Amino acid sequence: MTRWTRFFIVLIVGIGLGLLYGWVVNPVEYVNTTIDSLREDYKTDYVLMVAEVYHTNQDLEWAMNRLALLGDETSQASLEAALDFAVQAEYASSDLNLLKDLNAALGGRN
Amino acid sequence: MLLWGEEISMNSDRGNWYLLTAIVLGLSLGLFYSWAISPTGLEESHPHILRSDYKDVYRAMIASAYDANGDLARAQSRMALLKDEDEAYVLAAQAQRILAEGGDYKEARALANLSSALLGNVPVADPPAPTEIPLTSTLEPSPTLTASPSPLPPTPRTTTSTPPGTAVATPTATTTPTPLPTFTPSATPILPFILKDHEAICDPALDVPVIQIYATNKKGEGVPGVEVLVKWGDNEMENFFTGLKPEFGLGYADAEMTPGVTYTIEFSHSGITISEIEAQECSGEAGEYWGSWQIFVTQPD
Repeated sequence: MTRWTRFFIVLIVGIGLGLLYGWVVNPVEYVNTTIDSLREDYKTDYVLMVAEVYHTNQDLEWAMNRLALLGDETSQASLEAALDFAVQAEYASSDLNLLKDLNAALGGRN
Repeated sequence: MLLWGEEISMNSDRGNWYLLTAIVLGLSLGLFYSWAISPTGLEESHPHILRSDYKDVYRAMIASAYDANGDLARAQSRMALLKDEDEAYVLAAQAQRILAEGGDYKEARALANLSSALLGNVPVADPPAPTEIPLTSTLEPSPTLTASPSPLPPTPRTTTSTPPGTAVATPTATTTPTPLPTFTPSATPILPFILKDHEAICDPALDVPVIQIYATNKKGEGVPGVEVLVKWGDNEMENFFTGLKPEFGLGYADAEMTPGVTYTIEFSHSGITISEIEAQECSGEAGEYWGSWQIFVTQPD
């Protein structure tokens, strides 16, 4: 085995160890994040809050403004994603209905 | 000039330093890529590490949702995600900021209500919404008064702030999705107050004559979000709420008086009416000045 071969093998091992440390052992912890970076379950709960308020005030413009903070292309995209997660996570039917109501108001599937 | 064979021979004499170079270079590249170029977890962030303005948005959303569904358990579990040290205080302070900045009245109201509910008080029902609520009601142009130091020493409160910066490399705790309590819509009942005491006071420390309101629950804790109506003259009226100056206590509110004007104070949801409130002339070492009023209401046992 030549010196260059050994050099590259050790280099690759070093890169691997660096990635393991940086991704698994001691990953970056974020501060000062934005709402669009929230984990999916928190995003879904945020959408559910919007739906709960919309159920009472029926203010679609207000709801769309709040959903815009999620950073999706459209409010409906945020709703669809939240609905998918809520179904998958087996949210209570009353919550699913709130999400569906708002989604329908935005022109999405019911 | 060295021949190829001589170079190889010299390099062999260097031992295994090249392997150390390789491992250090590899580790550096790996760490740089994993921390700077492609760090994990950016799409996995939690509400408590939101930037403070986004935390405000999130908090206001929790309060609005509570206002809509009356589900305190759900609101509490959501508030816990933000990891605020003193949730009731933070909510009341945010309500105050919103009103001071001329923001959304309904949002401020919802925040005050949730603050109150978290303290174990039953919030008052939503009043007819005026367009704006002054932090301190300025009723009429005031006659000249002797300037004096600030009325009440603010109670220092400890708040946490997130240090600036975008990313800090520290171990990340694993969090599991928070199960949500079942949504149960419910009407928000009203728990009335009774008048405990009201008196005219002479306090030279007060810059201007004011009506000070102190609303407490049966445990003696301040109750934010209590609506107070102040009426004077020909059907003129302002309303304000306790808890919007949390530095003076969550159950505190005040409104400025104009000497010579007679006021009536009403706690609309409790049937309390106090009339003939007027600034009294006081005298002391500082000379003559206008006195104030203090009104104490409490929730009965």
